Amino acid sequence: MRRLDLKRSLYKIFIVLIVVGFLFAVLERVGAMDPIKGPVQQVTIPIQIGLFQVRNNISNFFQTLTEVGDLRNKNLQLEEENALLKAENQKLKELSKENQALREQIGASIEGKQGLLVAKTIGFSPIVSKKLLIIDKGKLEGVEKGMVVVVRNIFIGRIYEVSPHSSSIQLVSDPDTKIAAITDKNIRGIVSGQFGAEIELREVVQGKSLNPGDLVFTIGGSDIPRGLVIGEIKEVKKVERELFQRATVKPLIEQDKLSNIFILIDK
Amino acid sequence: MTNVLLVLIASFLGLIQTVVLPINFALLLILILVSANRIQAGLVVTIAGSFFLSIFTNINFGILLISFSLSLIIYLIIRKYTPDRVIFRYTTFVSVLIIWEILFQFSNRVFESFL
Repeated sequence: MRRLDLKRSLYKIFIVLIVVGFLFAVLERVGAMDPIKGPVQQVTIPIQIGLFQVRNNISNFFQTLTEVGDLRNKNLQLEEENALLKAENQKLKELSKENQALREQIGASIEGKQGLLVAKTIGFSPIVSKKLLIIDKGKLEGVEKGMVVVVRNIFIGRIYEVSPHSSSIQLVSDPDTKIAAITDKNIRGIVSGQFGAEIELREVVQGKSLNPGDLVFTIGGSDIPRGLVIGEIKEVKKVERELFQRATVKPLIEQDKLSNIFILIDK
Repeated sequence: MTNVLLVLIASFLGLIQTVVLPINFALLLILILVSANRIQAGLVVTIAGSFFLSIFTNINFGILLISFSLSLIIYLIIRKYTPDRVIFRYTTFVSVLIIWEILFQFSNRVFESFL
């Protein structure tokens, strides 16, 4: 009899907690929880940074151990690629100078209206089906929902949730991400995340020729600058009877192991 | 003193969930406490766990509290209809840990549509 009462009261307690939770959810939405969360985050964020770095170091150590056999071949390949890129870089520098001179001549505005805010990664979202990365900069440092996150000219994602001293980035690999994209051969499509950290280029018309190794860029719009690199095509999935073809896109950097990222903020 | 210790444990579990492994350790502890009829301790970890997870991950504290409570209601319902054996208890724990994420997404969607 007593056990039955206890169970009934347990149900009641959890229902009360649901109602209380709803009130707190509304309070947090209007920013009423910030005075509590802010000071606590100031204490916890340095701990998170430290722990996340330790975790990354351990993970890198074990990854290096497993990959040591391939490293020699990879090194030779990279040296060769490096030489080619140096030559290409020199050519691009010359073109950039020429471009700058032309812009000055016609009085066009130069890209870079936006400033960059550096942030450190401090953890992952506990929601397995979402691909979110947590960083140590938030509302009080000027971060806003929807801001674009990059590393050099590589698109990482957009700010998804903001706290006083911390934010979450919705990575390109998140299943809810949908971005208009274009390849280096001017083929348009939609990039979206898949379950399990994969990225896919979809809705590409069948006649267009997608090839592994093609780079995929942002097309611009929805506050995302044009020309940010999303990744390179790894595998093309073409089914003749389907209207569109698809391709798996591999990010140029491992998003799980990023330690510093840059947020594009309005100056 | 015990409650302070529980709060510290809940914060630590939230931290390792976001840094090391995305398993809801706090919810697992709550399930263990509730199954052992340590109700007060379970409630302390429910509230502290939701709060610290919200601090570490920027997720809305209220939504976390709702999803934890819903998970525990589901747990109580499952336990009511399953035999009181160790194997069933562990299976229920794993099921609730998986269901938690669905409940979280559900609570979040309902809240967003309400607003």
